[in-house]
Amino acid sequence: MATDAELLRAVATGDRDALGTLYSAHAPWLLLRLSRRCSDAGLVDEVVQDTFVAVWRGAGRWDGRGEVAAWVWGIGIRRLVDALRRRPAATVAFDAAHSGTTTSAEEQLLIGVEYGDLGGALTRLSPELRMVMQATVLDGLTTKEAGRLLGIPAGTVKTRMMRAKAALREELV
Amino acid sequence: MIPRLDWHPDEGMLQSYVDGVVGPELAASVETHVLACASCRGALAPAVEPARLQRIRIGVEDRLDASSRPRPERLLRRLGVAEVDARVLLAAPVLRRAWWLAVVLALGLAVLAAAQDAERGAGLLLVAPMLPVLSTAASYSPRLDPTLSLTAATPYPAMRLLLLRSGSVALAATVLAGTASLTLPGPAEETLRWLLPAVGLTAATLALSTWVDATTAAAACCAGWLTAVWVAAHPLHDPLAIYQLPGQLASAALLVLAVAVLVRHRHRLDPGSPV
Amino acid sequence: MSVRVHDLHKTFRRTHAIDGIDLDLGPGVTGMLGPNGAGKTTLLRILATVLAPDAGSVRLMGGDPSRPSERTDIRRRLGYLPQEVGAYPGFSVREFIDYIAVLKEHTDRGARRREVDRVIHLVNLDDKAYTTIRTLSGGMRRRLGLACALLGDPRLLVLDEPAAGLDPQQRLRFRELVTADPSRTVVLSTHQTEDVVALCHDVVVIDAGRLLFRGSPVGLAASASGRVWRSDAREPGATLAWVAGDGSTRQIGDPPAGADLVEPTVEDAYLILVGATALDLEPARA
Repeated sequence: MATDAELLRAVATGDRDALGTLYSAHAPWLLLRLSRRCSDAGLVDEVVQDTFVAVWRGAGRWDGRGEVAAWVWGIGIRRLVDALRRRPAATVAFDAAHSGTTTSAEEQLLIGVEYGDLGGALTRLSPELRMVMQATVLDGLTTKEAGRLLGIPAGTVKTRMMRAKAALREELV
Repeated sequence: MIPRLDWHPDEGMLQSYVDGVVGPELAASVETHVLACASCRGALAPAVEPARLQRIRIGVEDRLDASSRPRPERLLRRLGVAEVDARVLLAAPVLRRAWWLAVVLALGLAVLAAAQDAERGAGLLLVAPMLPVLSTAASYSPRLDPTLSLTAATPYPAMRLLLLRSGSVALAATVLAGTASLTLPGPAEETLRWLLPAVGLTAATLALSTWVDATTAAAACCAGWLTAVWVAAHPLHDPLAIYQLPGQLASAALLVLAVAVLVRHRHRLDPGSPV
Repeated sequence: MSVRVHDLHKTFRRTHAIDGIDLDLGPGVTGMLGPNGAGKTTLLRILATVLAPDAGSVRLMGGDPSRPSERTDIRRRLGYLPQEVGAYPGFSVREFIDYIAVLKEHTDRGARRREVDRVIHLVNLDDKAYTTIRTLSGGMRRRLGLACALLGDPRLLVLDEPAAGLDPQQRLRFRELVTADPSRTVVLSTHQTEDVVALCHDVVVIDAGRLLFRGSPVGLAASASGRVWRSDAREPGATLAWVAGDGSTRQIGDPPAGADLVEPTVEDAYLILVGATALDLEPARA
């Protein structure tokens, strides 16, 4: 079984079958993850398509560092941001939908395992602050891109990030 | 956040993630983890409807196919040429670089020779009409295009293939030769006098090929041309006499006759048609 | 009847390539046996609509190929594998099949891609799909040509020496392919009598532009009944003789009195019909 890195290098040489293998491995999780940020299934489908076309064209530009999946995500989320700019659709707020849910004890335990204290502190942020942190820290977007994704001005993103970091600092200190 | 690979979300957590009922932090954990873990990626795969994945994949393949066509073909498509015609035009070996490189080289040499010697200029003008004739025959000669026996059995009209190929090739050859002849001294009307005879001869080649094969047709036309040149030149001691008015009129008549024959017998261009 | 041919004639220069052939073919596989120069290729070219006869009538799938519009319609439902697969050497396998598919009016790009994938898979060239034709072996080129012929699932398949250059495993696969659709009419020419026995419900023997036999392979073998015998040594009077695997000599012709007659095979019968020319062998008679 070829590694993702090997497959991507093959794609860079024009190997369509390697692209097919990468597609089978990465399209499902990408689709799921994008769907958690945009509820328009048709748009998500287009974005996944665009992403793999971009993977084909840009395979030679991968710097070889880190996970291929992370690189693919970077392409995918930016395609989503672009697509939303052209056609504003409902971005989800899966998180807003959960703002009322309390995390179960088991989940709290696991969050502690994964993120330690930081994880707990994150849970206690308000949903709007948390979404901004997710878009920038987790999804790796710039403030401008995060703004486009969430449908808020970049300035608001910056403000919320500052507030979130202040809140976290207070908690962790 | 660096994901820890000693931790894997269990089946329940993955299912909750897929169903969209897991909390945001756990979702973030799953998502970050998945970036680094192929087995969990694989575990998520069945959650997406296969038909949806297949549909998207076909979309990707189609786009890659379209953009992978060579540039000349994409250019032709943009100009409104149908895909099948563009493919037919560009597939044949005679439309490839090697052929045209040879033609350009030959013309270049002829121009150089003509620059040194006025008589050689006359030579160029007399040879020029044969260039589109030979190029045309080459464009559908079975010897140069090995696929013709296969393509003859397809529904694509043989006549269309022949006319498209030979037409474009004759045009290109004429343009090249025209450019070369314009480098010769003298006004354009004089150096381009070979154009009408060239068109007439090319049409005659095509018309003849409803009766004999491409190579024979081209050879016959070239032989006929050279004979006509000699016959015209002899009494007047002027090698370019063929280009005087009588020669031009004869070329026009030849063109009309050739087109009429082509139209009348065009079905004979299909190898499967009865002679 | 998908193919109806009546009193067909075709002459090249002075040779009668086809000299009065009548043929009726229906669904299933018909094999065409005959030595080199027998007229098989000429006949197949006529059935594939790439050559017109000098005289006689041809009806393919109900259409008359001498008429332009009907000819085009026939070609839409026809697949042809010529003796030499002329393909552009610089193309890749997939590119070339795609080109032929475009000529066969597969205009929708996505559907065409899937059709090309399908035929590539049928002939087992999947791992060669992106290789250049120039680098293919002879057997692979035949398979490439076969893939092109199979595009669009034609109702009439005309195959000239389709199994040439295929190794035993590939020939088995070829047999499965060709017999897969019993409603399709397949005409193929071959030198190998085993192919005829394994593939064809109908066999036609041609020599010097004439039809020498028409019937089933079993019938062909039976026609040699009483003409094949075995002995320890070659005997005069045999048209053909060769040493069989077990050391005895198998002989064809008029058997001498008291000869050990054996069950004739299709090959025996074929050799009797076309004589020693089929194997380029010297007749046993000096």
